[in-house]
Amino acid sequence: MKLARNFDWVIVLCAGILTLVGLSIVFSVSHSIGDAHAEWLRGSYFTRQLLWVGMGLLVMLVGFAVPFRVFETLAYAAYAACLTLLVVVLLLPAKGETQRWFVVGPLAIQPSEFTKVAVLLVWARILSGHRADPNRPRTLIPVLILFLVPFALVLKQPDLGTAMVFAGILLPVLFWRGFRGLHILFLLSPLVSSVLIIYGENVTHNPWPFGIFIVLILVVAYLRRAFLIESVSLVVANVGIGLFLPVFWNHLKPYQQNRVTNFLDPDSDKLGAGWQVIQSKIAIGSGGFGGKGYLEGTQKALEYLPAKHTDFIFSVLGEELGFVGALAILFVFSVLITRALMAAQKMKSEFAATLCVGIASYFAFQVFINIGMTTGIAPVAGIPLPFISYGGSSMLVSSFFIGLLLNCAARWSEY
Amino acid sequence: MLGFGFAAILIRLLALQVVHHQEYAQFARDNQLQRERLQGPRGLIRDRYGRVIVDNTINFQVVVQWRSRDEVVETVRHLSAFIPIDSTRAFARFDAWQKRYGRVAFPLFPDADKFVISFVRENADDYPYLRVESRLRRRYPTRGVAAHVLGYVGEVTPEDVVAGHGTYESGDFTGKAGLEKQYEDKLRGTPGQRAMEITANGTSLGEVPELSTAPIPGRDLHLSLDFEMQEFLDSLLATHDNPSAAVVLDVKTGGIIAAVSRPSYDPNEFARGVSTSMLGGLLGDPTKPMFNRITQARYAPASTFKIVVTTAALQNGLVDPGRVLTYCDGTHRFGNRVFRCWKEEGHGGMNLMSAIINSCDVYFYRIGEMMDVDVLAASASAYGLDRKTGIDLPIEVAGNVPTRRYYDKRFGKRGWTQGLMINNAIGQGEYLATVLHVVRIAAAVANGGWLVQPRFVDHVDGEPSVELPRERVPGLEGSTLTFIRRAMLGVVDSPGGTAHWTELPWLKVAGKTGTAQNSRGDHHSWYMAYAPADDPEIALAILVENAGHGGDVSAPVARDFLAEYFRPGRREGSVVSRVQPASPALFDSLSIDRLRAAGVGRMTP
Repeated sequence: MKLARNFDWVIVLCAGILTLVGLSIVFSVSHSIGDAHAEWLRGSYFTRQLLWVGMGLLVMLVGFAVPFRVFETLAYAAYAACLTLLVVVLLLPAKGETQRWFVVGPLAIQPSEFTKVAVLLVWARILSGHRADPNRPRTLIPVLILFLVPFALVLKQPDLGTAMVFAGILLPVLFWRGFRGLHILFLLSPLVSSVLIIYGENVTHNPWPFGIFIVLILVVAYLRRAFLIESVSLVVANVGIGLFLPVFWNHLKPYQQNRVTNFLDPDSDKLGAGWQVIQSKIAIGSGGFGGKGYLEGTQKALEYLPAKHTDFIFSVLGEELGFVGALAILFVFSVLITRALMAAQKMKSEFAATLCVGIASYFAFQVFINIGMTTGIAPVAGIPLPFISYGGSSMLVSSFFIGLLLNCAARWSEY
Repeated sequence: MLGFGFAAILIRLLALQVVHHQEYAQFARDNQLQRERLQGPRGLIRDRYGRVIVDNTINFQVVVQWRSRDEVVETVRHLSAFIPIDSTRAFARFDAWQKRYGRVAFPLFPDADKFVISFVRENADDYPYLRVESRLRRRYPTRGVAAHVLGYVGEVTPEDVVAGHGTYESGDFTGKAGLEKQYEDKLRGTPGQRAMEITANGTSLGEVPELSTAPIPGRDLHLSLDFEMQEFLDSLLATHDNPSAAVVLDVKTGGIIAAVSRPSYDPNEFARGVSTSMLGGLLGDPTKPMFNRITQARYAPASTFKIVVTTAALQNGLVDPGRVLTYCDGTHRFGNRVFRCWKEEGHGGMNLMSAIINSCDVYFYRIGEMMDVDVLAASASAYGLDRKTGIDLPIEVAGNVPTRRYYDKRFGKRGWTQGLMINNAIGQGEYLATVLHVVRIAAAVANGGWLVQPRFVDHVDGEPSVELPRERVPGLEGSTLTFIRRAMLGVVDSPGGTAHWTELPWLKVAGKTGTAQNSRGDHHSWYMAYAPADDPEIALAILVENAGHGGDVSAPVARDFLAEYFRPGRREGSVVSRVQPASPALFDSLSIDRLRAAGVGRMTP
């Protein structure tokens, strides 16, 4: 009874709208082409997606019905299982250029997606421990190790995008648990330095941004009243990266270097990602304010849009439903994310609150990177748009997260 | 943070869909982007004087862009009225093509001549499905000469595409054998693309520079090969019908001057795309033309190995080189077995020097009786027989060096006797070596005791010359070295020497003949040598299969080669010929603009 009273219908509504929109766009994508091949595709993509939605519903129910404390207990088991799957997928023979999938019957399963759930569960469990303090090494180091292992495994696949999602979930979660801003600078600045160095050396051939960044770090450290030792180690760490990264970089194979520069700068990869982005921009731009109308998109029909049913599905959405449609989708996502953050503030259980923040970050990060990629303002990373992109693993994970959100919201008063 | 990110997207969407909507809509409605992949020309292969021995040529083909079989049939029917064309064969080829590649444009004329091309171009309106495509094709003007060294290119396999991490697209060519494979990373050009904006009615609005990149040609290989001498050596060996192999190298650097493996094949066939029947013919040939006898064929080193045995004997003080050790009456008894010298009537009293010069087997049988298995194995390893030479070719085999452990494993701890060493001492037992191993023995004697690493590529264009490590051969120094040099010189310049009849009056040559007994036919003929004997520059090793005594067959080939190589004025002439590039037309064709003008590349939407 209490569960029913506290049930968050808004979240369910948002997820439902997004799923329905997703299904119709997947249908639209496979609708366009008129030959036998397309018939088969339509049959397979749309019905398979329907199947995934059905399974997603089940998973959501499980995520909702089982009290979150059970998931807290199961966190490490889930984490271990996911790591095993990640290792196994690396050991299997590669499919094409990457090793991301298991093929089980007609379905492809991507363990890195499920790892997103597992890492969030273990972080939430550690950070909500009664003596946990993310500013102390005793708490921070285990969290970082639990982050780095799957991060490295996914990077090995190689899937830079998904590896970044782990970081995208971790930072807000740490911040929520009271991580000092200066410490976030510690974690984030080496990453920014690396990007600036690689970008500066290989794309723009301009070392100044890195120099300016070092100065900026000093200014921020001063303003945040950092201890001298902290400021010095910050600068040493970043300058050290500046010295050693180029050496490491030269040891990478050319195709590995290309993978990184293409990720950071799709325009440099005119034969691949750059080509995708321009086609995607044409599709979205030509949609205009009101869109060309459902099933009326032309760019998708011409086979110009690559990955149009998965990572680039937003291009089709933007083309057919226009600015209005895109805005509506963004609005629904914002409501969903806001509800999750509101729920987090209400929780009595630290574990549940941390979960809600993590889930909100997951949705926010994926939506931003995916739409940013299709519109040409974010790197081209193989990140799906939750509920909308075709793909089983992503659908199951998103549905499970919704289930967890409902679970926490309904049991907000429990510890 | 969240608000900021979403606001950025909002602004971006506003820009794309509202502010710049007109432009994108125009583009989507009227124009298409068409892209054309531009092949990066493969680097050339040149010899030591800069002469081009492998280059690229433009190949035109006429393809049918079909959607149904009827279109192909109709096109062929129409064409056959004007162009002689075997329609039955064309359909058979089409069916095979469709089965293998699916819906990919079918090359009706894979090697179209000017007539066909101009006909198709002039009548383009009548043949909507036909298109003329051009691409670069590897050309081996040298045909079969040095084919095993140069290798060949072929179309990439699906596995190559995966392993290349985006370097290759299906239809690209990659090195499949020889230097083409070994130096694929250097030779391969980087493809570019030209993006064109095309209006709905097919007129081009020009290139979109932001989406275009120029192809980058691969880098040229500069070999240490002297191609004139390569051809000459090939022609010398061609006078024998038997399979043969020969290597000539610079004794100081290990740079290979000529390397022949016969019989050979024409690599152009591979660059053109091999037919199954042709490949079947090559593979089914009993003389094995595809087999690289330079690096893959192992033979008993026979009497050339006596130099290794001598090194071991002198280094360990096993014999006194001046003393007559045996009296050779043509046979040698060990237990109840009889070993024969190659000279049935015997050599008479022999010391080490005369035993090498006359290649007396009985003397070396005696050494074999006295020498420990592992002592000889150590010396053979010092000469590199137990491992690969490290030559810059993708496939190479090591020799074989039997040690005590080897025999214990093969026959059991007490399952063998010193008798095995009797055959080993004349290079006839379990010892095996390639021509490349043997030429290194001669080179080590020539250069004062250094085991060089042989190599074909002197340098890659724009990179410094390769300096390879060389190893000291222990024991091959001082009096031992002087002794072996004198003995090898004696083989040629002393009246009883096994190669004396090939002596050149104006050039001192040091050599060693060999006759490898062979269970499957006549003896193989070995010869290794270096020259000039007093200041050695090059060493060579020659093997002619089933040709009899080394002194009879291989030694005269060496003589003729050396006579030409050291002919006064020859090398100066080669240096001059460097000034004129081999085929000027091809150099021009490699410039990017010319390639584009010629329309090199494939259209993909």
